[in-house]
Amino acid sequence: MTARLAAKGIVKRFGGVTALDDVSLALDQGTVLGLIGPNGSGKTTLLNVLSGTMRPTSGGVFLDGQRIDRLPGYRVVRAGVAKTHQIPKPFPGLTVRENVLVAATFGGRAPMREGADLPEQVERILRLVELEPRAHAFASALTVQEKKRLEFGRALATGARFLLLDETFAGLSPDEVRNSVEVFQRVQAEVGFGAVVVEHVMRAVLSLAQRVLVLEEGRAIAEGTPQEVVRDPGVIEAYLGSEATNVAP
Amino acid sequence: MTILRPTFLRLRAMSLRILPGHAWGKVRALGPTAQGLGLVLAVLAVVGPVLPVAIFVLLILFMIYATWAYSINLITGMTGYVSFGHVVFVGTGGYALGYGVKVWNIAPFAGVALGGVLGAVLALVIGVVTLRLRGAYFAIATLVTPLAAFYIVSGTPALGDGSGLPMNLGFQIGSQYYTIWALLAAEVALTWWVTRGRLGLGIRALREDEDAARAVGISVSRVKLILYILSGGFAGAAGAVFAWYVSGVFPDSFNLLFSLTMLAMIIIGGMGTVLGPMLGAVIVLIPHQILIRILPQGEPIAIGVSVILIALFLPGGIVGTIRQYVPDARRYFE
Ligand SMILES: Nc1ncnc2c1ncn2[C@@H]1O[C@H](COP(=O)(O)OP(=O)(O)OP(=O)(O)O)[C@@H](O)[C@H]1O
Ligand SMILES: [Mg+2]
Repeated sequence: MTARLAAKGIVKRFGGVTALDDVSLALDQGTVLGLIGPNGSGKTTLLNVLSGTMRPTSGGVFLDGQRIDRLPGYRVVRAGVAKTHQIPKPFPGLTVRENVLVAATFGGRAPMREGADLPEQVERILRLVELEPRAHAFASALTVQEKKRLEFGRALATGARFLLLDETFAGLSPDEVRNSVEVFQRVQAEVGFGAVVVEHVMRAVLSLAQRVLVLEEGRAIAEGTPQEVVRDPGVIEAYLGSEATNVAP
Repeated sequence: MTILRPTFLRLRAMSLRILPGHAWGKVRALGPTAQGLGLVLAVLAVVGPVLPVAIFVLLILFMIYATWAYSINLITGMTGYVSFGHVVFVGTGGYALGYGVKVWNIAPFAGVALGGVLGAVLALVIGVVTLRLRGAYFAIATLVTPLAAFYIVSGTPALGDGSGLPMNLGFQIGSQYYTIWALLAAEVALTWWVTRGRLGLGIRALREDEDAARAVGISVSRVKLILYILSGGFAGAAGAVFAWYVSGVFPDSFNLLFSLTMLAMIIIGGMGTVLGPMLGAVIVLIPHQILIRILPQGEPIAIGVSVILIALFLPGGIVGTIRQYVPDARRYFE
């Protein structure tokens, strides 16, 4: 049976601001859900709720039917849901390998002891995200793209069945985006995780995701296949202006 | 190092005869830093009684300071949370011993244990509330605690109001010496252990970036709280030994200068390291002994200035700086 991550009726308020207003979603392991929406529409907040970083004001998050939104963040990771940060947060004074090792050691359901097959797993992740040549560099010395790869690799190393990726392709050159999308697809095919991918770079979302959820001011205004979503008049309106050109296929 | 070699070899030859083979293998696996610290502690244990009393008494004070340095290192050095109010555990431990000895007539040993337990419990209470605060906010929140404690003990008749609890326990320097020795040895071993392996890696990650550490499955809050409780326990126990050593406990044991001194020791020695607090304790205590005689008011200034200079020019302290610039020496400076 494939695992399933679901959120039901999520509301999140910050004082007077309603960042999420009755948002629901569901995805199976092995599938990718794209999450798009204008700035400030609540995408990062939704990932924070899904990953246990923030508690929803109301509504629930379920992993295989088990409620996980009341668990502390580290338990959600160990249960199998890991996220990357919109602005990469590597451990700067640790090497790339150590960064991945930390995640592999602590991220698992039963955190791994030393020895075992830990080193092999770390090597595999480094290879998958193409950071092998940088394994001994301090994370602080990485380029933006490499830092984003490291975020991805660390999330992978936790062994999570669901990854929540916050703008992994933002701030990269078109070549780098193409390359990173390739890496993502290859790794996803090999590892078979489910993912929620937050993205402004439309082309990336459209090529990665089987389904797309569109947020606007905290509300889900559309959901469907990428083709359905880009033709939705409400979505086109939400993306009017410079972004509209990105939406056009 | 080269000059010391022959002595090391001879000692090693000796130990080879004393220890069975497999035990020696374990000792060797510890590496030079732990061996060095172990040797220092062993020498302290063995030669203590044959030293002149003046030096023996000074060594008790040194080990009290070193225990405090390792204590604040457990929280501030390991996690980066600056425990400005750390002296609150020292004073609490002192009053625990003072009250226990005077009112319940317990043995000073038991008073030290009581001081350790109360220090740990207090750290639990303060930690649950303040460890969720980041950076400067944690420092400020903990800063308030010794100030509050000062006013509480100054106004509590059972704790001697403002005049404290003087004790008359006689001359017990032997017991004091081995009590603080045992505390220090246990704490050095603990520090060594928490910097190793899986736990050590997790703590380093947490010190680097707490959010990222949580996001990869580290139980950040629990690790911080446990380190803080251990830290408070050792500071409390050493505070009790200090009260025993000076035959009394007074509201001034909540003096923030102690906090500053503890911080200075790990900033100078090297935060979060195993060797740093020991070096820091030596370096802070020697001028302390001189200044206290010739220019007592000068001490806070001397400490303040040296901490600022170190922070500006050698941010890793002695151990961190050597590790950075002499990679080959890292084995000796962990
Ligand atoms: N910790 C917080 N405290 C208060 N308000 C917040 C907090 N986090 C987010 N918000 C508010 O919630 C709303 C949604 O923010 P969020 O960061 O989720 O948007 P986003 O879709 O990720 O935007 P972007 O595309 O810029 O990353 C915004 O109005 C934001 O100001
Ligand atoms: Mg965002």
